[in-house]
Amino acid sequence: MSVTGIEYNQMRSASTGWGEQADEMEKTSKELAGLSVSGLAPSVQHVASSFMEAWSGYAHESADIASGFADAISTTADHINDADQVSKSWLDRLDGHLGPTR
Amino acid sequence: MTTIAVPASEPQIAELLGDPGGAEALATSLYKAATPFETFGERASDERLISGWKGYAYEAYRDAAGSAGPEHEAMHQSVRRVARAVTFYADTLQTLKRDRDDLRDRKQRLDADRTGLLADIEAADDASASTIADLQARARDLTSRYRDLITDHDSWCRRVTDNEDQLRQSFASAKGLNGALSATGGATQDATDAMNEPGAPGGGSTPAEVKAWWDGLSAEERAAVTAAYPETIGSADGLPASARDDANRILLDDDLATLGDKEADGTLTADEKMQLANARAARDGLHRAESYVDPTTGAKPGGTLWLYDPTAFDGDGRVAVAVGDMDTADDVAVFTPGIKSEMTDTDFYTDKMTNVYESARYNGDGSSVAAMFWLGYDAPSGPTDPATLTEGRAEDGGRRLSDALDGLRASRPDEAHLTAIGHSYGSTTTAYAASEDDFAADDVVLIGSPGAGPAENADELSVGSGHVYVGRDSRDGVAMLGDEGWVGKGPIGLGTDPSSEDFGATRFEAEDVDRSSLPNFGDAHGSYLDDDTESLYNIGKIVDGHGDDVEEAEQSYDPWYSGAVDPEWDRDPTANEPGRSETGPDAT
Repeated sequence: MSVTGIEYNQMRSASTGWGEQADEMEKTSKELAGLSVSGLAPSVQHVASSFMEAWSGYAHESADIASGFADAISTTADHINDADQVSKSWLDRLDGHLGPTR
Repeated sequence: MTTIAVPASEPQIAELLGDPGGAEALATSLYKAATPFETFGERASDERLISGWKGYAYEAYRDAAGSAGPEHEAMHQSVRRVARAVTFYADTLQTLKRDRDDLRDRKQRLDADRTGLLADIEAADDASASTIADLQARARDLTSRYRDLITDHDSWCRRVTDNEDQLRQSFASAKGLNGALSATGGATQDATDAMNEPGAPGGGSTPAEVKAWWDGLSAEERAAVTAAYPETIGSADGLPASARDDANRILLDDDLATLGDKEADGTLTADEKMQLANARAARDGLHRAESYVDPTTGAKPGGTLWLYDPTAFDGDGRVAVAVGDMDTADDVAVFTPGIKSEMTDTDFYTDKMTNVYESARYNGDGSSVAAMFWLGYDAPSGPTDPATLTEGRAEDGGRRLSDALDGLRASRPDEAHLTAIGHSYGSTTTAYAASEDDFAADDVVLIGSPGAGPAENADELSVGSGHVYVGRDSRDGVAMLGDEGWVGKGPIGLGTDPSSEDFGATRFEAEDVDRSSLPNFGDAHGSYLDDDTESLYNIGKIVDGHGDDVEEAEQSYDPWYSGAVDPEWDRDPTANEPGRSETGPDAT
């Protein structure tokens, strides 16, 4: 790797977007779990309910993935920012002057 | 002792379980639930490249998002496929409900006849031989009708079972994550197997091969492919109109639910906004077709969504809506519109199709009729569109129209009488289609034509000059653009004016009582399909298969010593005149 770097605001924005996606997936998970299959013939209702249950779970899992992306990006941005601050403190102590001002 | 065998009252009409409205509501909820999986996939793709972020951490994130994106897009398709299966189930349930009502009514009538027969037998002490023979004949007739009812009831029960089995398989196939993430996205095994059979649409099969493929599928397989692949089935030339209609209604319901939900959320993109407008236009047109009542019978001939593709042609869309039964009608008309026509005009043109239908029926010979608005080509967007001045879109549209009619022909086992009607630029498109050697129509009607494209005379159209009919209002400015004689008009028209003497088609009366004193591009060009006009009367005659009975008009011509002459200019037009311009019963 020859290049490393971040744009802090872009990462914050991406993290926020994934957070919203996680909320949406969680909402979908709940909605799927609550869908009524009573309009279907009884012979179909059981497998339909199983489908809803399974997909409610998938949506919940997707919410976890989105939430994980959001946290990871945010945390990474913070880590890089912290590391940058530490480096700054260290680099602030450098003196590049010559002569009496040094 | 004489025995009269009175049949038992059977069958017991089975209950129909399930509620179409409830099922449709479930489908709508599933369409809504599919959308977040789609946005997840899009976000994973969009935000894999977070601007300015580079390094090992970024690469790790990119890899994770890179796998999540396609997976969630597959999940979106799986939920959507199940939603469509539920839509198909709900639509079928609605049909089954109606059919059950019919069976129940038949049974009640039979039971009433049976009760009457038993009473007559009871009262027939010392009956004469002829009375006994009459009672026996009634009993035999009743037995035959009960037997038919039993057969139809058995068939209905199988359809109920098939409908439920199909939906159960759809849910089961998409339940597991492996299936949902597979290339087939949770489609049932029946569906994927059928689509891999030779002749399946989408793989370069001819309409005849597609028809043979469809005929070889079981009812369950047909239901499976319709629910799983509605885009393919809905536009497959060669399939019965009813099959295409089933598939296209699934797509329409999907769009109305999914995009309507996005509209409510405020997340509709500009493209989706056009798509939703197109979907709503198709819905309105279809509703108009379904609501239309044939005044000659009092019955509703029904509507068909024969083509539905709301994102085609940069959002202008492709659509075809028919009034009447395209699978069984004796006479079928396909109307191609001209410039400025877009999918949002569907309701307007469907209304015109009810006029064509009504005219053909009202002045017809009793044959059944279907009239379809077909916008399967990219019509130029208006007079300022450079495409209007050239024939490229008409040529392309002609190929598409020819393919569509080939599909219609192949889809039917019988030889329906088929009429292709083109208006304005659509007449040029129709002329291009009809210039192909094997054009499937029997008769061609060109109205308000700016020129017949590649054909310099009617004989160059494959139906032959005896089957080419032309309507031109003498004030129609667009219809004056074509060449009418030995001096051409340069690049302003699109070929020879088909109403001219040189062209050699049958010109029919098409003057409008509201015509103005001067040529114009408005009413004179847009009233050919209006109620109680000469034009609609004659078009009805042609659609009904009686082109020989049109009220002929003298052709225009262009003598060497003056400009073009239209003999119809000075004739007094008629409206609502029986046998000349009356196209339906007067409104009460």
